[in-house]
Amino acid sequence: MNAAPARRTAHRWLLLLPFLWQVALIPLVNDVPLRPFSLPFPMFWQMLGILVTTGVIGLVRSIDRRQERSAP
Amino acid sequence: MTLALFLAIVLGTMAGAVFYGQRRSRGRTMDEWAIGGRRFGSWIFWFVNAGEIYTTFAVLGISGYAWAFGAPAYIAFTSVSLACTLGYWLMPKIWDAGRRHGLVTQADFFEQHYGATWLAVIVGVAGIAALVVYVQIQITALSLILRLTVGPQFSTLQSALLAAGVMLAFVYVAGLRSAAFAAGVKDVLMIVMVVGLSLSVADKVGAASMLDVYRLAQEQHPGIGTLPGLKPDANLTTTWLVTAALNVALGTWIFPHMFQLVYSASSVEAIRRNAMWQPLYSLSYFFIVLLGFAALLAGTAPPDGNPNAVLLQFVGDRYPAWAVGLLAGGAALLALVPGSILLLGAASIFGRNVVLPLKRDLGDGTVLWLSRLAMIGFAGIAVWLTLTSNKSLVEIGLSAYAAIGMLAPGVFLAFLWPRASAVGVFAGIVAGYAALLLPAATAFWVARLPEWDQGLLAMGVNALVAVLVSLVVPSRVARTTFAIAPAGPG
Repeated sequence: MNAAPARRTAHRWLLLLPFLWQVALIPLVNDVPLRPFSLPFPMFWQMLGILVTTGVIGLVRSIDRRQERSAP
Repeated sequence: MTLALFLAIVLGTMAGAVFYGQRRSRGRTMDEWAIGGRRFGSWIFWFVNAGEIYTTFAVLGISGYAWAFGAPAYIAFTSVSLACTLGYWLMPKIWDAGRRHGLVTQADFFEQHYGATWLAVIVGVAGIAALVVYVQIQITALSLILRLTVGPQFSTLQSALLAAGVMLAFVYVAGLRSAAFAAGVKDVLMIVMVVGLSLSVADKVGAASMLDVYRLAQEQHPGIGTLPGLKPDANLTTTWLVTAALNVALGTWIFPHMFQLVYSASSVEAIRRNAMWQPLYSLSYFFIVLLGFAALLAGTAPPDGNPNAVLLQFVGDRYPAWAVGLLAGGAALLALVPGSILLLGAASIFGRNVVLPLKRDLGDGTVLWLSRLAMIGFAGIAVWLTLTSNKSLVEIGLSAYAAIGMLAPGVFLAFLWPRASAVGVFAGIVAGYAALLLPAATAFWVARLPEWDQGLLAMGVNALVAVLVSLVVPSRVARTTFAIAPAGPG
Protein backbone atom coordinates (compact mmCIF):
# COMPACT_ATOMS: atom_id res chain seq x y z
CA MET A 1 0.00 0.00 0.00
CA ASN A 2 1.03 3.58 -0.65
CA ALA A 3 4.28 3.01 -2.48
CA ALA A 4 5.46 6.55 -3.04
CA PRO A 5 9.09 6.08 -4.01
CA ALA A 6 10.40 9.28 -2.48
CA ARG A 7 9.31 8.33 1.02
CA ARG A 8 9.89 5.26 3.10
CA THR A 9 6.46 3.85 3.72
CA ALA A 10 7.22 0.35 4.96
CA HIS A 11 6.05 1.29 8.45
CA ARG A 12 2.55 1.87 7.04
CA TRP A 13 2.15 -1.91 6.89
CA LEU A 14 1.81 -1.77 10.66
CA LEU A 15 -1.71 -0.54 9.97
CA LEU A 16 -2.63 -4.14 9.15
CA LEU A 17 -2.14 -5.11 12.81
CA PRO A 18 -5.53 -3.81 14.01
CA PHE A 19 -7.19 -5.83 11.25
CA LEU A 20 -5.33 -8.97 12.34
CA TRP A 21 -6.29 -8.37 15.96
CA GLN A 22 -9.90 -7.33 15.57
CA VAL A 23 -10.92 -9.31 12.47
CA ALA A 24 -8.65 -12.21 11.60
CA LEU A 25 -8.48 -13.49 15.18
CA ILE A 26 -12.24 -13.34 15.84
CA PRO A 27 -12.75 -17.10 15.26
CA LEU A 28 -9.78 -17.98 17.47
CA VAL A 29 -10.71 -15.88 20.49
CA ASN A 30 -14.45 -16.54 20.41
CA ASP A 31 -14.38 -19.69 22.51
CA VAL A 32 -11.60 -18.85 24.95
CA PRO A 33 -13.19 -19.73 28.30
CA LEU A 34 -11.40 -17.03 30.32
CA ARG A 35 -13.44 -14.18 31.77
CA PRO A 36 -11.08 -11.32 32.60
CA PHE A 37 -12.88 -8.85 34.90
CA SER A 38 -16.02 -11.01 34.45
CA LEU A 39 -16.16 -9.93 30.81
CA PRO A 40 -16.77 -12.40 28.00
CA PHE A 41 -13.33 -13.02 26.48
CA PRO A 42 -14.16 -11.96 22.91
CA MET A 43 -15.49 -8.66 24.23
CA PHE A 44 -12.40 -8.09 26.36
CA TRP A 45 -10.31 -8.92 23.29
CA GLN A 46 -12.08 -6.34 21.14
CA MET A 47 -11.65 -3.67 23.80
CA LEU A 48 -7.93 -4.45 23.97
CA GLY A 49 -7.96 -4.23 20.17
CA ILE A 50 -9.12 -0.62 20.40
CA LEU A 51 -6.14 0.23 22.62
CA VAL A 52 -3.84 -1.63 20.24
CA THR A 53 -5.26 0.37 17.33
CA THR A 54 -4.66 3.73 18.94
CA GLY A 55 -1.15 2.57 19.83
CA VAL A 56 -0.40 1.40 16.30
CA ILE A 57 -1.78 4.54 14.65
CA GLY A 58 0.14 6.63 17.15
CA LEU A 59 3.35 4.79 16.28
CA VAL A 60 2.83 5.14 12.53
CA ARG A 61 1.98 8.81 13.01
CA SER A 62 5.14 9.48 14.98
CA ILE A 63 7.28 7.77 12.32
CA ASP A 64 5.52 9.78 9.62
CA ARG A 65 6.09 13.01 11.50
CA ARG A 66 9.76 12.29 12.05
CA GLN A 67 10.21 11.58 8.34
CA GLU A 68 8.34 14.73 7.35
CA ARG A 69 10.40 16.88 9.66
CA SER A 70 13.70 15.51 8.33
CA ALA A 71 12.67 15.50 4.64
CA PRO A 72 9.86 17.99 4.05
CA MET B 1 -40.93 16.88 33.81
CA THR B 2 -39.79 14.51 31.09
CA LEU B 3 -41.24 16.74 28.39
CA ALA B 4 -39.85 19.96 29.88
CA LEU B 5 -36.31 18.55 30.09
CA PHE B 6 -36.58 17.03 26.65
CA LEU B 7 -37.65 20.33 25.08
CA ALA B 8 -35.10 22.35 27.04
CA ILE B 9 -32.26 20.16 25.77
CA VAL B 10 -33.35 20.00 22.16
CA LEU B 11 -34.39 23.64 21.76
CA GLY B 12 -31.51 24.99 23.84
CA THR B 13 -28.95 23.12 21.77
CA MET B 14 -30.57 24.17 18.52
CA ALA B 15 -30.55 27.82 19.54
CA GLY B 16 -26.93 27.64 20.65
CA ALA B 17 -25.93 25.86 17.46
CA VAL B 18 -27.64 28.39 15.22
CA PHE B 19 -26.05 31.27 17.12
CA TYR B 20 -22.62 29.64 16.86
CA GLY B 21 -23.09 28.88 13.18
CA GLN B 22 -24.12 32.46 12.40
CA ARG B 23 -21.31 34.00 14.37
CA ARG B 24 -18.61 31.83 12.83
CA SER B 25 -19.88 31.71 9.29
CA ARG B 26 -18.20 33.99 6.78
CA GLY B 27 -20.56 34.36 3.90
CA ARG B 28 -23.04 31.92 2.52
CA THR B 29 -21.22 30.06 -0.20
CA MET B 30 -21.68 26.41 -1.03
CA ASP B 31 -18.18 25.74 0.35
CA GLU B 32 -18.97 27.33 3.68
CA TRP B 33 -22.37 25.69 4.01
CA ALA B 34 -21.31 22.19 2.99
CA ILE B 35 -17.70 21.77 4.14
CA GLY B 36 -17.16 24.54 6.66
CA GLY B 37 -14.80 26.36 4.31
CA ARG B 38 -12.10 23.64 4.75
CA ARG B 39 -11.05 25.27 8.01
CA PHE B 40 -11.87 22.68 10.69
CA GLY B 41 -8.97 22.19 13.10
CA SER B 42 -8.33 19.08 15.19
CA TRP B 43 -10.94 19.72 17.87
CA ILE B 44 -13.91 20.69 15.80
CA PHE B 45 -13.02 18.01 13.25
CA TRP B 46 -12.94 15.44 16.03
CA PHE B 47 -16.34 16.49 17.33
CA VAL B 48 -18.00 16.46 13.92
CA ASN B 49 -16.45 13.07 13.26
CA ALA B 50 -17.64 11.74 16.61
CA GLY B 51 -21.01 13.30 15.86
CA GLU B 52 -21.20 11.20 12.73
CA ILE B 53 -20.07 7.96 14.32
CA TYR B 54 -22.11 8.10 17.54
CA THR B 55 -25.64 8.25 16.26
CA THR B 56 -28.77 6.55 17.52
CA PHE B 57 -27.38 3.50 15.70
CA ALA B 58 -24.61 3.42 18.30
CA VAL B 59 -26.62 4.00 21.46
CA LEU B 60 -30.18 2.75 20.93
CA GLY B 61 -29.19 0.33 18.15
CA ILE B 62 -26.25 -1.39 19.83
CA SER B 63 -27.90 -1.61 23.27
CA GLY B 64 -30.93 -3.16 21.56
CA TYR B 65 -28.70 -5.55 19.64
CA ALA B 66 -26.91 -6.58 22.86
CA TRP B 67 -30.30 -7.17 24.48
CA ALA B 68 -31.66 -9.20 21.57
CA PHE B 69 -28.55 -11.11 20.43
CA GLY B 70 -25.67 -10.58 22.87
CA ALA B 71 -22.19 -10.99 21.39
CA PRO B 72 -23.05 -9.82 17.84
CA ALA B 73 -23.17 -6.33 19.35
CA TYR B 74 -19.34 -6.51 19.54
CA ILE B 75 -19.36 -5.23 15.97
CA ALA B 76 -19.50 -1.84 17.67
CA PHE B 77 -16.01 -2.34 19.12
CA THR B 78 -14.53 -2.98 15.68
CA SER B 79 -16.35 -0.29 13.73
CA VAL B 80 -14.47 2.84 14.76
CA SER B 81 -10.96 1.50 15.26
CA LEU B 82 -10.83 -0.33 11.92
CA ALA B 83 -12.34 2.61 10.06
CA CYS B 84 -9.75 4.92 11.63
CA THR B 85 -6.89 2.56 10.77
CA LEU B 86 -7.96 2.53 7.16
CA GLY B 87 -8.73 6.23 7.38
CA TYR B 88 -5.19 7.08 8.47
CA TRP B 89 -4.07 5.93 5.03
CA LEU B 90 -7.14 6.90 3.00
CA MET B 91 -8.34 10.21 4.45
CA PRO B 92 -5.24 12.30 3.65
CA LYS B 93 -5.48 11.17 0.03
CA ILE B 94 -9.12 12.19 -0.22
CA TRP B 95 -8.40 15.45 1.59
CA ASP B 96 -5.51 16.29 -0.68
CA ALA B 97 -7.49 15.60 -3.85
CA GLY B 98 -10.30 17.74 -2.46
CA ARG B 99 -8.09 20.69 -1.71
CA ARG B 100 -6.11 20.63 -4.92
CA HIS B 101 -9.15 20.35 -7.17
CA GLY B 102 -11.66 22.34 -5.14
CA LEU B 103 -13.93 19.31 -4.61
CA VAL B 104 -16.99 19.67 -2.41
CA THR B 105 -18.78 16.33 -2.78
CA GLN B 106 -17.84 12.72 -3.29
CA ALA B 107 -19.28 12.70 -6.81
CA ASP B 108 -16.93 15.63 -7.59
CA PHE B 109 -14.10 13.27 -6.78
CA PHE B 110 -15.32 10.63 -9.23
CA GLU B 111 -15.84 13.28 -11.89
CA GLN B 112 -12.38 14.73 -11.44
CA HIS B 113 -10.53 11.44 -11.12
CA TYR B 114 -12.26 9.39 -13.79
CA GLY B 115 -12.91 12.37 -16.06
CA ALA B 116 -16.54 11.39 -16.55
CA THR B 117 -19.45 13.62 -15.60
CA TRP B 118 -21.95 10.84 -16.30
CA LEU B 119 -20.22 8.65 -13.71
CA ALA B 120 -20.46 11.47 -11.19
CA VAL B 121 -24.21 11.72 -11.75
CA ILE B 122 -24.61 7.96 -11.14
CA VAL B 123 -22.34 8.05 -8.10
CA GLY B 124 -24.29 11.06 -6.83
CA VAL B 125 -27.62 9.28 -7.08
CA ALA B 126 -26.22 6.11 -5.48
CA GLY B 127 -24.72 8.17 -2.67
CA ILE B 128 -28.00 9.98 -2.05
CA ALA B 129 -29.82 6.63 -1.88
CA ALA B 130 -27.46 5.33 0.81
CA LEU B 131 -27.71 8.59 2.75
CA VAL B 132 -31.49 8.44 2.71
CA VAL B 133 -31.34 4.95 4.24
CA TYR B 134 -29.05 6.35 6.93
CA VAL B 135 -31.47 9.22 7.56
CA GLN B 136 -34.15 6.56 7.93
CA ILE B 137 -32.25 5.20 10.96
CA GLN B 138 -32.30 8.60 12.62
CA ILE B 139 -35.97 9.25 11.86
CA THR B 140 -36.94 5.77 13.08
CA ALA B 141 -35.14 6.47 16.33
CA LEU B 142 -36.33 10.03 16.74
CA SER B 143 -39.97 9.14 16.20
CA LEU B 144 -39.59 6.27 18.65
CA ILE B 145 -38.14 8.67 21.23
CA LEU B 146 -41.01 11.07 20.69
CA ARG B 147 -43.60 8.38 21.14
CA LEU B 148 -42.02 6.65 24.14
CA THR B 149 -41.15 9.70 26.17
CA VAL B 150 -43.15 12.69 25.06
CA GLY B 151 -46.46 11.17 24.19
CA PRO B 152 -47.83 7.86 23.02
CA GLN B 153 -50.70 9.82 21.51
CA PHE B 154 -48.51 10.54 18.47
CA SER B 155 -49.02 8.12 15.61
CA THR B 156 -45.98 6.67 13.85
CA LEU B 157 -46.62 8.95 10.89
CA GLN B 158 -47.00 12.06 13.00
CA SER B 159 -43.88 11.41 15.01
CA ALA B 160 -41.85 10.56 11.89
CA LEU B 161 -43.01 13.77 10.20
CA LEU B 162 -42.24 15.78 13.29
CA ALA B 163 -38.79 14.21 13.49
CA ALA B 164 -38.08 15.02 9.85
CA GLY B 165 -39.38 18.57 10.32
CA VAL B 166 -37.09 19.30 13.25
CA MET B 167 -34.14 17.83 11.36
CA LEU B 168 -34.82 20.05 8.33
CA ALA B 169 -35.33 23.15 10.46
CA PHE B 170 -31.98 22.49 12.07
CA VAL B 171 -29.96 22.17 8.90
CA TYR B 172 -31.73 24.97 7.01
CA VAL B 173 -30.53 27.60 9.36
CA ALA B 174 -26.77 27.32 9.17
CA GLY B 175 -25.08 24.20 7.81
CA LEU B 176 -22.11 22.19 8.99
CA ARG B 177 -20.78 24.58 11.64
CA SER B 178 -24.06 24.51 13.57
CA ALA B 179 -23.99 20.75 13.46
CA ALA B 180 -20.47 20.76 14.89
CA PHE B 181 -21.64 22.76 17.90
CA ALA B 182 -24.64 20.50 18.47
CA ALA B 183 -22.39 17.47 18.08
CA GLY B 184 -20.25 18.76 20.94
CA VAL B 185 -23.26 19.26 23.20
CA LYS B 186 -24.76 15.88 22.41
CA ASP B 187 -21.47 14.02 22.93
CA VAL B 188 -20.91 15.52 26.37
CA LEU B 189 -24.54 14.95 27.33
CA MET B 190 -24.63 11.36 26.11
CA ILE B 191 -21.36 10.43 27.79
CA VAL B 192 -22.58 11.87 31.10
CA MET B 193 -25.91 10.12 30.65
CA VAL B 194 -24.55 6.73 29.61
CA VAL B 195 -21.88 6.66 32.32
CA GLY B 196 -24.40 7.87 34.90
CA LEU B 197 -26.85 5.15 33.97
CA SER B 198 -24.09 2.54 33.97
CA LEU B 199 -22.85 3.53 37.43
CA SER B 200 -26.31 3.06 38.91
CA VAL B 201 -27.43 0.12 36.82
CA ALA B 202 -26.02 -2.65 39.03
CA ASP B 203 -28.44 -1.75 41.85
CA LYS B 204 -31.40 -1.83 39.52
CA VAL B 205 -30.82 -5.41 38.39
CA GLY B 206 -29.50 -6.96 41.60
CA ALA B 207 -25.82 -7.03 40.68
CA ALA B 208 -22.95 -5.98 42.94
CA SER B 209 -21.11 -3.85 40.36
CA MET B 210 -20.94 -2.99 36.69
CA LEU B 211 -18.75 -5.97 35.97
CA ASP B 212 -21.04 -8.14 38.04
CA VAL B 213 -23.80 -7.32 35.55
CA TYR B 214 -21.67 -9.03 32.91
CA ARG B 215 -21.16 -12.04 35.21
CA LEU B 216 -24.88 -12.35 35.92
CA ALA B 217 -25.84 -11.97 32.29
CA GLN B 218 -23.50 -14.81 31.30
CA GLU B 219 -24.79 -17.01 34.11
CA GLN B 220 -28.46 -16.46 33.39
CA HIS B 221 -28.12 -16.43 29.63
CA PRO B 222 -25.45 -18.94 28.64
CA GLY B 223 -24.00 -18.14 25.24
CA ILE B 224 -24.71 -14.42 25.43
CA GLY B 225 -21.03 -13.49 25.58
CA THR B 226 -19.74 -15.47 22.61
CA LEU B 227 -20.82 -15.70 19.00
CA PRO B 228 -23.34 -16.63 17.65
CA GLY B 229 -25.05 -15.14 20.69
CA LEU B 230 -28.53 -15.73 22.01
CA LYS B 231 -30.19 -16.61 18.70
CA PRO B 232 -28.06 -19.08 16.74
CA ASP B 233 -30.76 -19.24 14.06
CA ALA B 234 -29.94 -15.67 13.08
CA ASN B 235 -26.58 -16.87 11.67
CA LEU B 236 -24.64 -14.16 13.49
CA THR B 237 -21.53 -16.32 13.71
CA THR B 238 -17.83 -15.53 13.81
CA THR B 239 -17.86 -15.54 10.00
CA TRP B 240 -20.63 -12.97 10.11
CA LEU B 241 -18.69 -10.72 12.46
CA VAL B 242 -15.51 -11.01 10.36
CA THR B 243 -17.30 -10.09 7.13
CA ALA B 244 -19.62 -7.47 8.60
CA ALA B 245 -16.76 -5.76 10.47
CA LEU B 246 -14.72 -5.61 7.25
CA ASN B 247 -17.65 -4.24 5.30
CA VAL B 248 -18.25 -1.52 7.87
CA ALA B 249 -14.56 -0.58 7.92
CA LEU B 250 -14.33 -0.43 4.12
CA GLY B 251 -17.60 1.49 3.83
CA THR B 252 -17.23 4.13 6.55
CA TRP B 253 -15.28 6.75 4.57
CA ILE B 254 -17.20 5.96 1.40
CA PHE B 255 -20.38 7.45 2.79
CA PRO B 256 -20.70 10.77 0.95
CA HIS B 257 -21.07 12.72 4.19
CA MET B 258 -17.89 11.16 5.63
CA PHE B 259 -16.07 11.88 2.39
CA GLN B 260 -17.29 15.44 2.59
CA LEU B 261 -16.31 15.63 6.23
CA VAL B 262 -12.73 14.75 5.26
CA TYR B 263 -12.59 17.82 2.99
CA SER B 264 -13.55 20.03 5.92
CA ALA B 265 -10.28 19.29 7.78
CA SER B 266 -7.83 22.17 7.90
CA SER B 267 -4.73 19.94 7.67
CA VAL B 268 -3.44 16.38 7.37
CA GLU B 269 -2.38 16.68 10.98
CA ALA B 270 -6.00 17.27 12.07
CA ILE B 271 -6.97 14.11 10.18
CA ARG B 272 -4.19 11.97 11.60
CA ARG B 273 -4.69 13.12 15.15
CA ASN B 274 -8.37 12.31 14.80
CA ALA B 275 -7.62 8.84 13.41
CA MET B 276 -5.39 8.15 16.37
CA TRP B 277 -7.68 9.31 19.19
CA GLN B 278 -11.14 8.58 17.80
CA PRO B 279 -10.94 4.79 18.47
CA LEU B 280 -10.54 5.32 22.23
CA TYR B 281 -13.94 6.95 22.30
CA SER B 282 -15.43 3.68 21.07
CA LEU B 283 -14.44 2.03 24.36
CA SER B 284 -17.64 3.68 25.59
CA TYR B 285 -19.51 0.84 23.90
CA PHE B 286 -18.61 -1.04 27.09
CA PHE B 287 -21.36 0.98 28.75
CA ILE B 288 -23.82 0.61 25.89
CA VAL B 289 -23.49 -3.19 25.85
CA LEU B 290 -23.68 -3.15 29.65
CA LEU B 291 -27.02 -1.34 29.51
CA GLY B 292 -28.32 -3.80 26.94
CA PHE B 293 -27.35 -6.76 29.14
CA ALA B 294 -28.81 -5.05 32.20
CA ALA B 295 -32.10 -4.51 30.40
CA LEU B 296 -32.14 -8.22 29.63
CA LEU B 297 -31.51 -9.11 33.29
CA ALA B 298 -34.29 -6.73 34.31
CA GLY B 299 -36.71 -8.52 32.02
CA THR B 300 -37.39 -5.36 30.02
CA ALA B 301 -40.28 -5.82 27.62
CA PRO B 302 -40.26 -3.07 24.96
CA PRO B 303 -43.44 -2.43 22.97
CA ASP B 304 -43.84 -5.04 20.19
CA GLY B 305 -40.52 -6.56 21.31
CA ASN B 306 -38.83 -3.75 19.38
CA PRO B 307 -35.10 -3.90 20.22
CA ASN B 308 -34.66 -0.23 19.27
CA ALA B 309 -36.87 0.73 22.20
CA VAL B 310 -35.12 -1.40 24.83
CA LEU B 311 -32.89 1.26 26.36
CA LEU B 312 -35.66 3.85 26.60
CA GLN B 313 -38.09 1.29 27.99
CA PHE B 314 -35.57 0.07 30.56
CA VAL B 315 -34.77 3.58 31.76
CA GLY B 316 -38.48 4.45 31.79
CA ASP B 317 -39.19 1.36 33.95
CA ARG B 318 -36.38 1.75 36.46
CA TYR B 319 -35.32 5.38 36.64
CA PRO B 320 -36.99 8.66 37.70
CA ALA B 321 -38.67 10.95 35.19
CA TRP B 322 -35.79 13.44 35.00
CA ALA B 323 -33.42 10.68 33.87
CA VAL B 324 -35.85 9.72 31.13
CA GLY B 325 -36.07 13.36 30.05
CA LEU B 326 -32.29 13.73 29.90
CA LEU B 327 -31.85 10.48 27.99
CA ALA B 328 -34.64 11.32 25.58
CA GLY B 329 -33.22 14.80 24.97
CA GLY B 330 -29.70 13.47 24.45
CA ALA B 331 -30.89 10.65 22.23
CA ALA B 332 -32.93 13.11 20.19
CA LEU B 333 -29.79 15.16 19.55
CA LEU B 334 -28.08 11.90 18.68
CA ALA B 335 -30.57 11.51 15.85
CA LEU B 336 -30.86 15.18 14.90
CA VAL B 337 -27.20 16.06 14.49
CA PRO B 338 -26.16 13.19 12.21
CA GLY B 339 -29.53 13.27 10.48
CA SER B 340 -29.07 16.90 9.54
CA ILE B 341 -25.50 16.34 8.34
CA LEU B 342 -26.73 13.41 6.23
CA LEU B 343 -29.45 15.54 4.67
CA LEU B 344 -26.90 18.28 4.09
CA GLY B 345 -24.65 15.82 2.28
CA ALA B 346 -27.47 14.47 0.13
CA ALA B 347 -28.56 17.99 -0.75
CA SER B 348 -25.14 19.25 -1.77
CA ILE B 349 -24.62 16.20 -3.99
CA PHE B 350 -28.00 16.74 -5.58
CA GLY B 351 -27.23 20.37 -6.35
CA ARG B 352 -23.70 20.02 -7.62
CA ASN B 353 -23.69 16.60 -9.22
CA VAL B 354 -27.20 15.96 -10.42
CA VAL B 355 -28.70 19.39 -11.18
CA LEU B 356 -25.62 21.28 -12.37
CA PRO B 357 -24.49 18.78 -15.03
CA LEU B 358 -28.00 18.94 -16.50
CA LYS B 359 -28.11 22.73 -16.51
CA ARG B 360 -24.66 24.29 -16.48
CA ASP B 361 -25.61 27.97 -16.42
CA LEU B 362 -27.09 28.04 -12.89
CA GLY B 363 -25.49 30.34 -10.36
CA ASP B 364 -24.11 29.26 -6.98
CA GLY B 365 -27.11 30.84 -5.22
CA THR B 366 -29.65 28.98 -7.33
CA VAL B 367 -27.90 25.65 -6.79
CA LEU B 368 -27.81 26.22 -3.05
CA TRP B 369 -31.51 27.05 -3.12
CA LEU B 370 -32.35 23.94 -5.18
CA SER B 371 -30.25 21.77 -2.87
CA ARG B 372 -32.16 22.98 0.13
CA LEU B 373 -35.43 22.33 -1.62
CA ALA B 374 -34.33 18.79 -2.49
CA MET B 375 -33.65 18.09 1.17
CA ILE B 376 -37.37 18.20 1.85
CA GLY B 377 -37.86 15.50 -0.75
CA PHE B 378 -35.12 13.30 0.73
CA ALA B 379 -36.51 13.72 4.24
CA GLY B 380 -39.93 12.74 2.85
CA ILE B 381 -38.54 9.55 1.32
CA ALA B 382 -36.82 8.70 4.59
CA VAL B 383 -40.12 9.17 6.44
CA TRP B 384 -41.83 6.88 3.96
CA LEU B 385 -39.11 4.22 4.45
CA THR B 386 -39.51 4.55 8.21
CA LEU B 387 -43.21 3.78 7.96
CA THR B 388 -42.73 0.70 5.82
CA SER B 389 -39.92 -0.93 7.82
CA ASN B 390 -39.78 -2.47 11.26
CA LYS B 391 -36.19 -3.67 11.25
CA SER B 392 -33.70 -3.06 14.05
CA LEU B 393 -31.50 0.01 13.78
CA VAL B 394 -28.42 -2.18 13.38
CA GLU B 395 -30.01 -4.08 10.50
CA ILE B 396 -30.98 -0.84 8.75
CA GLY B 397 -27.48 0.44 9.40
CA LEU B 398 -25.86 -2.61 7.85
CA SER B 399 -28.05 -2.26 4.78
CA ALA B 400 -26.93 1.38 4.47
CA TYR B 401 -23.33 0.14 4.61
CA ALA B 402 -24.12 -2.48 1.97
CA ALA B 403 -25.57 0.20 -0.29
CA ILE B 404 -22.64 2.58 0.07
CA GLY B 405 -20.13 -0.24 -0.31
CA MET B 406 -21.01 -0.19 -4.01
CA LEU B 407 -19.01 3.03 -4.35
CA ALA B 408 -16.02 1.70 -2.41
CA PRO B 409 -14.17 -0.05 -5.28
CA GLY B 410 -14.25 3.18 -7.29
CA VAL B 411 -12.63 5.11 -4.44
CA PHE B 412 -10.00 2.53 -3.54
CA LEU B 413 -9.07 1.79 -7.15
CA ALA B 414 -8.63 5.53 -7.71
CA PHE B 415 -5.74 5.49 -5.25
CA LEU B 416 -4.34 2.04 -5.97
CA TRP B 417 -4.55 1.37 -9.68
CA PRO B 418 -4.06 3.99 -12.43
CA ARG B 419 -5.63 1.72 -15.01
CA ALA B 420 -9.07 1.74 -13.38
CA SER B 421 -11.51 3.45 -15.72
CA ALA B 422 -14.91 5.11 -15.54
CA VAL B 423 -16.45 2.31 -17.59
CA GLY B 424 -14.92 -0.32 -15.31
CA VAL B 425 -16.13 1.41 -12.16
CA PHE B 426 -19.60 1.80 -13.64
CA ALA B 427 -19.76 -1.89 -14.63
CA GLY B 428 -18.67 -2.77 -11.09
CA ILE B 429 -21.43 -0.64 -9.58
CA VAL B 430 -24.07 -2.27 -11.80
CA ALA B 431 -22.83 -5.79 -11.01
CA GLY B 432 -22.58 -4.96 -7.32
CA TYR B 433 -26.13 -3.69 -7.07
CA ALA B 434 -27.34 -6.74 -8.98
CA ALA B 435 -25.53 -8.99 -6.48
CA LEU B 436 -27.02 -7.02 -3.62
CA LEU B 437 -30.60 -6.45 -4.73
CA LEU B 438 -31.71 -9.10 -7.25
CA PRO B 439 -33.86 -11.66 -5.43
CA ALA B 440 -32.09 -14.49 -7.26
CA ALA B 441 -28.71 -13.22 -6.08
CA THR B 442 -29.73 -12.78 -2.45
CA ALA B 443 -31.32 -16.23 -2.49
CA PHE B 444 -28.04 -17.62 -3.80
CA TRP B 445 -25.99 -16.00 -1.02
CA VAL B 446 -28.44 -17.15 1.64
CA ALA B 447 -28.24 -20.72 0.34
CA ARG B 448 -24.47 -20.88 -0.20
CA LEU B 449 -22.91 -18.42 2.24
CA PRO B 450 -25.57 -17.85 4.90
CA GLU B 451 -23.14 -16.48 7.48
CA TRP B 452 -21.51 -13.91 5.22
CA ASP B 453 -22.36 -10.24 5.23
CA GLN B 454 -24.09 -9.72 1.89
CA GLY B 455 -22.73 -6.21 1.58
CA LEU B 456 -19.17 -7.52 1.56
CA LEU B 457 -20.04 -10.21 -1.00
CA ALA B 458 -21.61 -7.63 -3.30
CA MET B 459 -18.62 -5.34 -2.83
CA GLY B 460 -16.36 -8.22 -3.85
CA VAL B 461 -18.39 -8.86 -7.02
CA ASN B 462 -18.30 -5.14 -7.72
CA ALA B 463 -14.52 -4.87 -7.33
CA LEU B 464 -13.89 -7.95 -9.43
CA VAL B 465 -16.03 -6.69 -12.30
CA ALA B 466 -14.51 -3.20 -12.06
CA VAL B 467 -11.00 -4.67 -12.37
CA LEU B 468 -11.89 -7.03 -15.22
CA VAL B 469 -13.64 -4.35 -17.25
CA SER B 470 -10.85 -1.86 -16.59
CA LEU B 471 -8.38 -4.41 -17.97
CA VAL B 472 -10.36 -4.46 -21.20
CA VAL B 473 -11.17 -0.74 -21.26
CA PRO B 474 -8.35 1.00 -19.40
CA SER B 475 -8.45 4.60 -18.31
CA ARG B 476 -7.09 7.28 -20.64
CA VAL B 477 -7.33 10.15 -18.17
CA ALA B 478 -4.08 11.90 -17.37
CA ARG B 479 -3.56 11.16 -13.72
CA THR B 480 -3.34 13.91 -11.17
CA THR B 481 -4.89 12.24 -8.14
CA PHE B 482 -1.83 10.06 -7.88
CA ALA B 483 1.20 12.08 -7.10
CA ILE B 484 0.12 12.30 -3.51
CA ALA B 485 2.61 12.55 -0.76
CA PRO B 486 0.52 13.95 2.07
CA ALA B 487 1.82 17.33 3.06
CA GLY B 488 3.40 17.79 6.44
CA PRO B 489 1.68 19.38 9.42
CA GLY B 490 0.25 22.82 8.90
